[in-house]
Amino acid sequence: MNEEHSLENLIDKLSDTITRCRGCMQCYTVCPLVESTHGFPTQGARGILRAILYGIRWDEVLGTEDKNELRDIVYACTTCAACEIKCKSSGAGVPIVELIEDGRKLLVEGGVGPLENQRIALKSIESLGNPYAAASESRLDWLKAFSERRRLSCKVVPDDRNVDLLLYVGCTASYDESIQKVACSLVTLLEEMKINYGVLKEERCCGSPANRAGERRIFSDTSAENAKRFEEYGVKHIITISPHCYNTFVNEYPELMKKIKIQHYTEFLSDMMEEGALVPQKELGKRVTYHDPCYLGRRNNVYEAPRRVLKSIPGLVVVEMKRNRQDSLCCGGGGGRMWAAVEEVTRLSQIRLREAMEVNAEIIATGCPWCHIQLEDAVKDTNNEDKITVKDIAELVAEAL
Amino acid sequence: MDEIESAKVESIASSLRKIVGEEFVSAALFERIVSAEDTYPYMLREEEVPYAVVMPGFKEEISKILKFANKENVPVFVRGSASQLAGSTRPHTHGIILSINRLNKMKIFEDYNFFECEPGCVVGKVAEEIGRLGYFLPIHPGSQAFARIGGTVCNNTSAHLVDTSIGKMGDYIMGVEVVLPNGDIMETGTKGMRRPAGTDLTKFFVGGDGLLGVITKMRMRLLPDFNHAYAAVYYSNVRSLAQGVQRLYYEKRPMPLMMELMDEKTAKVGFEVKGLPPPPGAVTIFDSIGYSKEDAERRRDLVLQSLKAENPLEVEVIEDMDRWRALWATREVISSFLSQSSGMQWKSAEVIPNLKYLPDAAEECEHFNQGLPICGSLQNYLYGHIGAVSLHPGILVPRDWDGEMQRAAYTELFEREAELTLKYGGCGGEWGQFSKRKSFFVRRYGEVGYEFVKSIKKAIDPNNILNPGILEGYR
Repeated sequence: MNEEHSLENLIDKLSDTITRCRGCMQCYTVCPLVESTHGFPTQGARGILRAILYGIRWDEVLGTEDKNELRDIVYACTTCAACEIKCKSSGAGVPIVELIEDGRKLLVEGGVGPLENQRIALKSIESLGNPYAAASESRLDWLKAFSERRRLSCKVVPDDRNVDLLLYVGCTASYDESIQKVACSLVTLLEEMKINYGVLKEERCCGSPANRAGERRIFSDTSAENAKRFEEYGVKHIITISPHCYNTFVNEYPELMKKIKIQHYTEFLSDMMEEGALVPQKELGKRVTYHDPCYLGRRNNVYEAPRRVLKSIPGLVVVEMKRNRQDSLCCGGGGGRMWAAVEEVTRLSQIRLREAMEVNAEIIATGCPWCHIQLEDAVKDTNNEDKITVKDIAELVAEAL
Repeated sequence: MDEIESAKVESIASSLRKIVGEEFVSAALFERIVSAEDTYPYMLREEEVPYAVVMPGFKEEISKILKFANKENVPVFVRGSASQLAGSTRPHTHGIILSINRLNKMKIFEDYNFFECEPGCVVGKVAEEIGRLGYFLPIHPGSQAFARIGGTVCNNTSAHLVDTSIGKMGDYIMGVEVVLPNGDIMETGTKGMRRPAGTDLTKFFVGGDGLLGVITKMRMRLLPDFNHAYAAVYYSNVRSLAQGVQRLYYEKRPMPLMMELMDEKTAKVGFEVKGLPPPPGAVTIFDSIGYSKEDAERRRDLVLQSLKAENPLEVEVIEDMDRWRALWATREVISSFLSQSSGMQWKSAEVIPNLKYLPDAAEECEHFNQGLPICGSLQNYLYGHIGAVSLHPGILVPRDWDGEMQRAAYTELFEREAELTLKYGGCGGEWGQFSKRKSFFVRRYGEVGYEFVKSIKKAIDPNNILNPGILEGYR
């Protein structure tokens, strides 16, 4: 571990930057934790930061139970970054999410973090290359099954390295049965556009869950290995299905990734549509609203490409929810919370579903596997299957071919 | 924390759980710590860490909590969002933190011309709700997106608004429902349009500094919204600007609803943060109101007539709402921006002069910290609600000073505030009268005045259960 990231530096950075917050509390007005809990003061951005500060300064008097409480507070954040944007617009600009993730690193160093289920997921990333404890050799089963249904030109890298575009499928679209259809839809579109594309023979997790959980070592091992492979295989252009993989590649990977063009698939589809390489023909005749995933929108400012893609589908009426773009409400699945049992009084995904139904949408479209899962659960849990469906943008475009 | 204390934490928490239910009580250490914090940068002392945090949902539960606290002799500190700036939400001893945030319902009765709301309602949300029906909420703190209305009632603060334009918020409060320190529940005031003549119990609680009861509901008259007209006027110095404001009063002008001041140094910061070209000097921005657009514009022009007599550098009549919002934002971002960029902690004071000495006071506030032993060499900024004859000098306090040093610095700044407000003949108009400001009260009204309040407090709260420390003054 280099000096820049030593424990003392981490502590210094946290103590310094947290005390720059002047407590204006604007962050609480947009925090999804405040909205989905009873709103005790530790259930909001500034409260989490102050808890970290006391955790550092009062370390010596803390018992195991106190430390576990601190862990639960710090790991409850969805890292949606709504607070950061609010903080910046109020004039301050405290890097809140970075500080919370640094707090998690500190808890990991102290043997307190991450949460139990996250530990299991991270172990699985190390041994199997995915957080779902699924066999690494079955990662491409979805593709094999799909190729039995239709002829595919998809190449498998590095057996055949001669590809223009690498589809980085990601763990959720590879393994989760409800999301594999998104990968299939995207493959259908790539075939339709006759793109010379491929997938990795031995794709491994991008490492994002490790970073969210504060496990620096697992992340740096994973990212170094992935980046090395991309370079070795001569990859020039990657599209991802998950905004989380996308964000990690763009913002958190080693410098050598800068040479590779990285896009979320909605950006790629939007480009292709602009070039006229992809023209949806079939009328869908539905009312759709788009849910901005935090890691695509707030984190990377990709707001318009997904909307452009939706608007190019004939017959699709695109309506906006009250909170959209940078005001979008987190679905609750980010920040490592896919592996955390965070208590919610009102589920964020259900609040979001209500917002979609308020504008009479028949479809909530999104571009993130985790948002997709969370929202689909909300539809089922509230028995609204006959009124509204969750679709990925790739699915809708594929339906419109 | 030693064993006796942790046993006490458990026993208090378990009693509270019986009153409000498991999920609305926390005895976890970090929750107790963070729930005792306010906007102040310095950390709690160990003896300030509360025993438990409780979030009741009904007045009957609050009544039971206060009865329990009296029986066990445990202090209760009432908390909303803790955005108060004079230290009155920060406990100075172990106790129970009672959060009113679950009491957040409101109802509008247009046929009676009032609305009722619970203290945990967020000020900005209430403003939005009644705003939709064409009414204006006469409360406008910078923290309105987050501050709870209960705290503003206890301080009787309309914050940015000019008192002499539409009055103070307390002028619109028709009555409250309150749980007294002994647990009794009482209603005050009226549902009629006429205010009580003679004894009006409401006045013990509106602006009562939270000493005499926990407000669980308030009734407020619906004030019709106005039409607005805006302008900004720039001067080479704050003295001329302040003299312009004096003229508004002397020349019988209709006072704007809001009228802000930034001295040149401060305005430059705000304008830069919002990406505007630097202002030519000190600036006042104001919002004139009227019953029609023409009426508001006529009133703005009357204000401008007086302001122009003090030789401004520039007069800007604002027709474009985006421009007004941008200028308003320059004022709002200053303290947050300076805290972050300078790496220091912003601490403002509130100096209230009388009208006659406003120019002297404004000038002196540009050097507010001059000669102070602890804070004398720190950077000083100045803004304020100049139309209300209210000044907010702000100081940047280093973060690397330890907690005790920061406390001492804050105390020094409040002492200086007291000194200037005494010198110039006003009294705190936004942040309550006690807590960090007790010494002003004693100096201004003497031991007689202070004893008067103490004896009332003692009569109503003999065990000093409710919000102790506010009246005694924090250090």
